[in-house]
Amino acid sequence: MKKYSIYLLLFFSLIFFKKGFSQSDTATRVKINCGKCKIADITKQIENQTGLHIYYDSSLFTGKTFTYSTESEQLSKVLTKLLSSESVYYSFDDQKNLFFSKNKSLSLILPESYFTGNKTAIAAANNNTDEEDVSDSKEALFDKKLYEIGDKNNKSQKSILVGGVIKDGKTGQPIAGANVYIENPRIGATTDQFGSFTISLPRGKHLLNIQSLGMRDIKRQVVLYSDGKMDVDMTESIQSLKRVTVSSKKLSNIRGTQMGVQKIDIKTIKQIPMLFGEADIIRAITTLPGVKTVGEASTGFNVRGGAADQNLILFNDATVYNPSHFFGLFSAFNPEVVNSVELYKSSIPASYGGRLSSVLDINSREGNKKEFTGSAGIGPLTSRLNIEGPLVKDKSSFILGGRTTYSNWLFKYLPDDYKNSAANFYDVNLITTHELDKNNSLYFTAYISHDKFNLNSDTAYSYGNRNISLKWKHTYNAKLNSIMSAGMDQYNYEIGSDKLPLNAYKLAFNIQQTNFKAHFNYFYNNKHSFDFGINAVLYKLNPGNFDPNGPQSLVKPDHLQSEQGLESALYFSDHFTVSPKFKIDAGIRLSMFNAMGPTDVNVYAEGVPRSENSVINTLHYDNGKITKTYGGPEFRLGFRYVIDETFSIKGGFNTQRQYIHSLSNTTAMAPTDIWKLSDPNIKPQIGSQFSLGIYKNMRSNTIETSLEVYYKDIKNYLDYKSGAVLVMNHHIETDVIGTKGKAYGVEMLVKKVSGKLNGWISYTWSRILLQQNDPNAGEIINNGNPYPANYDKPNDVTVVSNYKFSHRFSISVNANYSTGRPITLPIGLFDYSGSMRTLYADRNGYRIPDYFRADFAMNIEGNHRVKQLFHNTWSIGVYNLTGRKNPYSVYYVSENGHVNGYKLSIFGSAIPYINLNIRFK
Amino acid sequence: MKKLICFILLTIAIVGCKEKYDSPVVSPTSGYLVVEGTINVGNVTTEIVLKRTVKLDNPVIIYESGALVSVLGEDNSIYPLNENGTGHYKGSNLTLNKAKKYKLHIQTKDSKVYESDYVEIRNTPAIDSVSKKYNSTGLELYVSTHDATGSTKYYQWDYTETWEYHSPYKQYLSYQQLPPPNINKYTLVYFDPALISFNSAIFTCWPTENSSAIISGSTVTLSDNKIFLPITFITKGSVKLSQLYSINTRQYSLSEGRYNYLQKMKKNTEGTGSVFDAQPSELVGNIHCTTNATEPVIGYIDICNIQEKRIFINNSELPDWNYLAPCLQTEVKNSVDSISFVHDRFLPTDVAKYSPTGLAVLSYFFSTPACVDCTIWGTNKKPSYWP
Repeated sequence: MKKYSIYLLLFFSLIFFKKGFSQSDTATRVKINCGKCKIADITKQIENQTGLHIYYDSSLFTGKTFTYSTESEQLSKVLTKLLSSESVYYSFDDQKNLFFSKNKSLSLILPESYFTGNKTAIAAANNNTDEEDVSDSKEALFDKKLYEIGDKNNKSQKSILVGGVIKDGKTGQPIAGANVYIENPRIGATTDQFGSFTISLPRGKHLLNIQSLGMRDIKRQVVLYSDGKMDVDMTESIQSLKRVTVSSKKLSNIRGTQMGVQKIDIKTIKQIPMLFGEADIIRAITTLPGVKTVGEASTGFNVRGGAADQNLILFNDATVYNPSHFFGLFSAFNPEVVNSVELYKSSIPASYGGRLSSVLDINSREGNKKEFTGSAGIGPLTSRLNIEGPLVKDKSSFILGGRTTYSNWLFKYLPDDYKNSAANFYDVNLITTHELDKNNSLYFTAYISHDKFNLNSDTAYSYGNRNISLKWKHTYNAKLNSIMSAGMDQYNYEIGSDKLPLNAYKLAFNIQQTNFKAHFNYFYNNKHSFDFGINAVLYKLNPGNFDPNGPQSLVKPDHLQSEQGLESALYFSDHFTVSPKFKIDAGIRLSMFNAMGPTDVNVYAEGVPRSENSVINTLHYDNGKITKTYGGPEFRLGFRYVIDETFSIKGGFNTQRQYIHSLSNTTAMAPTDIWKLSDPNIKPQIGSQFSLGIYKNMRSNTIETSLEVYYKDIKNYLDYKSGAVLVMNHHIETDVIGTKGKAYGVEMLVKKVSGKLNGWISYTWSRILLQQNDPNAGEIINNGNPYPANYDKPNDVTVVSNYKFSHRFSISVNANYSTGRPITLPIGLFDYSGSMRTLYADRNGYRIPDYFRADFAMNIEGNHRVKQLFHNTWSIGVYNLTGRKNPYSVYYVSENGHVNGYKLSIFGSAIPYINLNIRFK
Repeated sequence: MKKLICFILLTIAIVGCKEKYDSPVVSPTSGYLVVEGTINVGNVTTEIVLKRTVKLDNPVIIYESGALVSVLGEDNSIYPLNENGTGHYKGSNLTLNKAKKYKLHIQTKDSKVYESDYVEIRNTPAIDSVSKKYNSTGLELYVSTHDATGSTKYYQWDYTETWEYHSPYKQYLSYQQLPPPNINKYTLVYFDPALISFNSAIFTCWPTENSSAIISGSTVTLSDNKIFLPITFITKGSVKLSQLYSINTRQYSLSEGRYNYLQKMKKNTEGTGSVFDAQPSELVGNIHCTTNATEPVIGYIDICNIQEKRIFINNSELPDWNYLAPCLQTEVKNSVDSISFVHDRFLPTDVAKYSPTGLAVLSYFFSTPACVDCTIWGTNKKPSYWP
């Protein structure tokens, strides 16, 4: 027994001894005498007096001198005083070793209460023990550094404005949409597309948090004395294997006022498996709740029951009319120059207008301001090349990107039927940024896309977009800044045939718009921030020029009269923070449209269906004469109420007016769609939408969930009379009818934002019903009952998932199920003119079979050595993994006197692909 | 577009982007009335054909018989059309007044009344020519016409093709049933013991085919009211041009309404569903059911004189036409059992092998009736217009 006691005693004393040793170490008083001496001098004095061994990386203190003297002071206090200014930590082990470290894993010497409400931040830091990333610890240094802003002597100012720019530290590119906020009291701001933010904070010490998608979270200790500036560089977040990101601040989905805004960054887009391995922005958008496509051969998309032409697609503020290449198999945006994509589907800011359903705002990257880099990609059908770099280092940059297809060689290997076919496209982007001075920046964007194809048929098609825009950002002071932009957008297409020399023709269409925007942002105070400005768009359309093609052609030239119109708008909106929990976004947009001459306008008899026979007069208007003015207020209202840190409710009401319409009686957005301006006979479309959503984050905000409901009312949506002629129609108003529409739906989203496995699941239930029951319109559709629009697909489930095995290897799987879209099916057959022919039932009375597709992709990256000149990325995958033959459409054809029904699938099998991307410096 | 999609599929070694589709629709049993034809003011007989729509899965032609059909004038004149052949209502030499409008009146046997709108009489210009263009893939035939008065902007054509057909094998032999007590036993007899002449009644025939597509055209977008359009294409090697071929093209002047109606019908059945085609549309013609206004009626009535033009094309005009009959002969032993065995399926043509002495027949050639008997393809009565 005694023996055991001794052992026990020994054991305990050992523990106590050890512990006691450490405690006594920090309590040990030391004498330091140092005037401008190096760290080595001080550590020597400590080592001599305490018998400790001190270890540190001398580079931590390069060039540092210390002036410090004390006769007798506790070691811990000495160390704190010496090291805290350098953000260096110390720790002991039980071997009488003392470590100086910049690594967070060692215990903090700064007392936790030093910054209020910072517990989670520390917890987060402590969780990073596995991380041995250089930039991480460097960031930790900045984290602990205290930034002083303003004039210390200015004691009168209570509320202080801090402005600045958030940039990517590696490339110098600004980061849009980053959140800048303090926790207590809760005050926040978001950076605009130029990375700028303005925040008003009380005088004193704060912990400023900065967060952005795909970037490492940043914290800055600031002491505010008076108005000032603070720019922050962020670094990319690289998800490591064991890292668990615990953060209570990933709150953008909870705290933002806007609902129905979806933002995807380009990295996420690139992870989604795509056809032929081409990262595709429009297709990525269609994986989001509430966004649908009618099928695979259309990049036109439908948002919340809106038609494809009701989306405003902006590329750096330039309107892009046809966002697709190759019939929509590829989208027209080069993923290499795109930075982020934002889709507004319910709370559309007052600064945007002119389309009913949504705004898809695509922002390009800015070129690298520090060094020249580039990337190249090779796929089975397309290849691309991008170069970027500084024009003036740290001041201006450019990015030039191009894509082209080389698919023509494939035709040679095809059956004779396709031998004479040709299809090609290209697009080129040039974006330059120039920082004139701290308060002025210029941005220039040029974009060209072109498609040409001829499928052995006698008809050749071509179309293209051209956009150019210049933007000037000016900061007047910390409270007021403005963005002025001017640009020209053009879209044109041409169809030609020369098979029959007598009938050879060329049909050309083009639309051109000149636009000017002035946008101001005024930060009034923490409660109010105002956006206001004006927009003006001058449209010029040539709706169709039909000309002979070749000398033998007897085709009579026919030119539809050109159209001209001016759409202008004045808007004002207030971001009103009622309380930290309750925020309101209220805006009004006064929009006006003037249809203008030169033109001849048909006047139709009242109360009878419009037809050529009911024209009672034709009025002529000279150039610039206004033929009709439409306009009215559009309301944009949104609110957010935060119930707790992870739970909020948002709602909105919004009205929109659309003065330009696309006319197409095909379901897809075809390159040959005609755009038509409102005129005395074609009324603008008017839409209003109510929406409500709840947002809940779970598991330390790593899982975001949302549920949104909406109801939409649409007036004057154009549908077609049976067998309408849309091409070269001099009186198109007689072939279209205005319908009333209503759309409603529920959208659910569960998103896992971080971790090895990330992605989202979305489910949408929605309807869009149209109705035409006015007998005077010329045709009653389906006896005047509501009928589904041809893109009505009630159920839609999308799963997007990505699993990272390592930094270099990841697997993505996505799947999509949706109800088949409506079609008009035949109900009977009859013999006429020697063939069996079909009799069709109610418009859109039936549906094609449901759609299901799963895709798989593996992304393999080469090594990550920083110095390496070339970085390769392989993406290997299978599109439509199950090989399901999803019908794009069902149709009936009379063949040799029999009527046969067919299903047409765009991709009737699994399609493997391989794609190589090279980045170089 | 379909081609593009198929092309993409082909490039990755995949076929079958188009599949058969079975409609889930249950269609009405009774069917709706279909009125086909043009009221003709020339010397060609007016023929109006009444039919019923049928279910999708039952592509048969059901004629509507027992109806009372007549042409009614604005001036209350009545021209009855008499049923001559089930569902075919005919009237010859209608002497209509060109200054007046007429309508078609139908009373079906279930006492429903259908009437067209009043229609004016149109004048059809003559066909200028029916011409041919021969290339490596086949023969394309074009129609050309013009209207000096400019009154006809819309045309419809249909045609009847007739060709001389020779059976690939001449029949020198025929079956002869053996007398009882033999049951179903056959032997062969010579058509001509000298083996010089053969059964010419089944060697030369004149098959006839009507157009099965809606062929229409308009000069609205053309500057001088001239039109030149392909009406049919005959693939190289086709039997139609193995000897002598003739096509009789009929031309109709259309009203804009009927032209649009036919265009819609054409769009609905001859080319919908490919990715960029227009959507099918409801067909609303100028015939209405006066008994039940909501009942759909199919058809659009016009009145005009019909212009015809016949041309002939000889095989000798088309070098390398390379018609090859899809036929083979089978050799059968000269025995009653063998001959009786093939009797139901084959027709005898000629002697295949003689014995070395040349006195006995060892075997005969046989072929399928389609390769021996031309009457399977068409009439063996030479048409009156045939040279």
